[in-house]
Amino acid sequence: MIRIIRVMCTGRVDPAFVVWALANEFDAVLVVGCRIGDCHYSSGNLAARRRMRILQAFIKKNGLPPERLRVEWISSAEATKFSKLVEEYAGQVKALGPMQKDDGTRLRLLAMKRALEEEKVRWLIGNEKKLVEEGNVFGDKLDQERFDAAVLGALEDEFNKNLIAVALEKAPASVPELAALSGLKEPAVGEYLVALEQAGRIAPVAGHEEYARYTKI
Amino acid sequence: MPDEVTQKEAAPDPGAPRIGVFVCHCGANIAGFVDIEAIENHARALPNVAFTQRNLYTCSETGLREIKTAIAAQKLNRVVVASCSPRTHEPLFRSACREAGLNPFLFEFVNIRDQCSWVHMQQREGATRKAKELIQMGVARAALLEPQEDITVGVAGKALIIGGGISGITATMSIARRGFQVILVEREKELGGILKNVHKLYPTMGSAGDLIGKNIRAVQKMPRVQVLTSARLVEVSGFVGNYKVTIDSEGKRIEDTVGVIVVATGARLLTPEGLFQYNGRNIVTQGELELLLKQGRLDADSIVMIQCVGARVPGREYCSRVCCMTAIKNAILIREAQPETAVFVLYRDIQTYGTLYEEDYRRARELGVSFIRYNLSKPPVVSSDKVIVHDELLGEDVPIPFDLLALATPLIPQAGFDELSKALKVPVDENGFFLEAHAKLRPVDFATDGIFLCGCARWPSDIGESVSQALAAAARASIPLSQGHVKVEPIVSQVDQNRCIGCGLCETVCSYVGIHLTDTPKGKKAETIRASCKGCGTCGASCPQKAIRMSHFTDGQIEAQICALVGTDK
Repeated sequence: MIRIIRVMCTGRVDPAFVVWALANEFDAVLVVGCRIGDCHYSSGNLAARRRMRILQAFIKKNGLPPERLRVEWISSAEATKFSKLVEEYAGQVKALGPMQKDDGTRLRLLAMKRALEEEKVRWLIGNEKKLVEEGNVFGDKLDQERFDAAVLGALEDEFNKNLIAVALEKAPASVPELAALSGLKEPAVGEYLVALEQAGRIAPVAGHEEYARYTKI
Repeated sequence: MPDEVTQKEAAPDPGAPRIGVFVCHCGANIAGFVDIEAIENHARALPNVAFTQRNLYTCSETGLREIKTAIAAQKLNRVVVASCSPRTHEPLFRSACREAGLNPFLFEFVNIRDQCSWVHMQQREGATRKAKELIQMGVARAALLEPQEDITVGVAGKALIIGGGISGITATMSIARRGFQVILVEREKELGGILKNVHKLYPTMGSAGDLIGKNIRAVQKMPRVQVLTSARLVEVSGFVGNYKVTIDSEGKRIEDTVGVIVVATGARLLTPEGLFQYNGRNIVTQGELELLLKQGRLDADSIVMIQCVGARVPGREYCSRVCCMTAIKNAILIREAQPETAVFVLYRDIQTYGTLYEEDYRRARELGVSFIRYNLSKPPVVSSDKVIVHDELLGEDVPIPFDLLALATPLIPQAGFDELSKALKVPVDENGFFLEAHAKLRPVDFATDGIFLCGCARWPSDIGESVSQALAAAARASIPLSQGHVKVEPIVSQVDQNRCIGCGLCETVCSYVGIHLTDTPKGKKAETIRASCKGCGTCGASCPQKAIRMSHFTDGQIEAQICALVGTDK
C-alpha cells in the first residue's frame, strides 16, 4: 500500500526524508516529479535527480537494496503511466520483503539520516553541478567518478561518527562496545569520540572501569 | 516605495493544536466505497483532534457552514478536510477558514477520494485503512502548521521592452496606450527589425516597408515612450514589480527601475554557408530574393526555390513555419508580374495551415508554379546553372536549369540569446528560442513573474502571429502594472541568518532569484526575496547548515507526516 506525501517540488525532497521514511517502517520510497526539462519550478527536479543518485549509492553502500529508493519523472497528464509504475514498483518492493525493523537497523538508518544532514556532505551534494559540469573559476572540473568517491567518502565518515553519536544517545558505552557495535577498529572509534567530544556532543562518564564510558550531553 | 515588500505582522501563535477533522462523503463517491464511520471514529481518537464531523458534501454551502460553525463553537485552531483534490478545492476550504477567522494556512487537505475510494474501488477494507492512515498523517502535519500572511509587493509603473521589431513596437504601443511608461531598447541603429528587409507580406500582399514605417513613426511620436537605439541591456536584478535595469545606449549608461519586462528580440535568417552552392549572387537566400524584389532588381527567366535548407535536418530539427508561405508569396508575385518566368519550388512538405494560406498555395499552383517534392535522403544536387532533383512522385531525377536559385533558410535564434537568457534568468529551449512558462496555458509568460515574451524570440512566427503575441504579452504585462501591486503566495524560504555561513549554495540552486547573498554586519548572509521566491524548497533541501526553513513545508512538518504511522502495519 502506498502513502502519498505532497511537496511543492521534488527539489524539496531532502535525502534525509527518504532515510527517515525507511527508519519509520516504510519499506521503500518512490520520488516522483515532473519530467526532466518540464520542471514546474524550472530546475528543481534536476537538483533532486543529482541528490537521489548519490543517495541511492549511499543506501547501497550501507548494505540495503538500492531499489528501496526509486526516482521517476512523470507528467501530471500521464495517469496511466503513473498507475502502472506504482503497481510494478509495489510488486518489486513486495519481492524485496519488508525492511528489517530491529534496533540495529534503525540505529544505522538514524546515523545515515544524520550523515545526510551534515554540512560537509550537503555542501558536496549541492555543488555537484558546479564541481562536475561547470568547473571552478579556473575551469577545472572534477570527473564524475572522483566526485562520487569524495561524496561517498564524506558520507561514510559522517555516518561512522553519527552511528557512535546515536548509540551513545541510547546508552553510555565504552570504546570496545562501540567498536563491536559499529564494526570499526578501536582507534577509529577513538578518533570519532574525540571529534564528538570537541563538538560538545558527548562527554566521558566518571567511573573506575577499565575503559572510560562516554555519554551524550 | 515600489520595492518595499509588505507583510502584515506575523499572525499570533494559534496555540496548542485543537484540530477539527471533516470527513466528506462526496455523496456516494467516497462513502460508497469505504467505511466512512470507521474513518471518522479513527480520526476522533488521534492526538490533538478536538472535533470530527462527517459531511454529505463538505464543499457545499452546508458543509462550509458546518466547518465555520465548528471553528467558532469548538475553538478549533487547525482544520483537516478529508475529501478530494487540493487542485480543485483547496482555495474554497482555505477561504472558509479565513471567513471563520482562522488563518487559511492552518488548513490541511487529505485526499481520500482520488487516493482511496477511486483507485481502490474494489477493495473496501484496504481503501478504508488507507483513508484512516492518510488522515492520521494529515493530522500529524496539521498539528505543526503555522499561520502565514500574504505578501504584497509594489510595482513600478514602467515597462522595458527588449527588441524594436514589429513585436516589440506593438507591445510598446499597447502598454503605453494603457497609460504606462515604456522603455523600448533596440540593438540596431534603427527600429524595424527583420521587416525592414522584407518586400511584401502574405497573405495581404501589403508592403512590409509601409507597415513597419508607419509603426516606427507612431511609436517614436508616442507619449510616455522612450526609444533607445544602438542599445543593449547590460544588467538586470530584482523581481516582479522592481526590476533594476542598466542599459547601454550609444555609449551612455541608463539606469532605471521597471515593473515588467517583455522579451521581443526576434530571430534572424540562417546564412546557408556551404549548402547548395550558396554564393550570394545567383544562388541566394529567400531573404535576399525579397530584397531583389523590393529593389526591383530581379532579372531571371527560370527561378528555382529549395525549401527546408538547414531546417528539419539533424541538428536543427524544427520547422521554421514562415518559409513555405514566403516562397509561395514570392512565387505568386513573380508569376503575376512576369508570367513568362518559370518558378519551381522544391519542397519536402508544404505548411500552409489555415484558410488564407491554403488559398495562396492553390493560387500559386493555378499561376503555374511547379511544386516538386524531394526527400531528405536524396536532396537536390546543385551545379552552377542547374539543379537535379529526385522527384519523389515520378521516382526519377529531373534536371532544372536556373538563372536564380533561392534557398529558404530557417529563422534561427538571435545572436546573444544566451547572454540575455542568463541575465534575465529565463530559459531557452534546445534550439535557443526562449521558452514560455506553458505552451498552451501561459504562452507569452515566462515562468518568472513579471517577464513576458512574444514574436520570433519564442519561435518562428509570421507578422500576424507576432502581433497577436505582442498584444497578448502587453495585456499580460499590464496586469501587475495596472494593479500597482502583486500578491505573492507566502510559501517561501526563511533564512536563519545566525546559522547561515554565507556559502551561497542556495543562490546557485535557485531558478528564480528567490534568494541571494547580501551584506550584513556579520558578513555575507543569505536573504529570501519573498516577492520572487516560489517556495519550491530546492534551497532548503540543499542548505549545508540547514539554515533555511521552508514555510508550510518545514522539515518538521514533513518528518511528522512520515513517522505518523509508526507501529501501524503498512
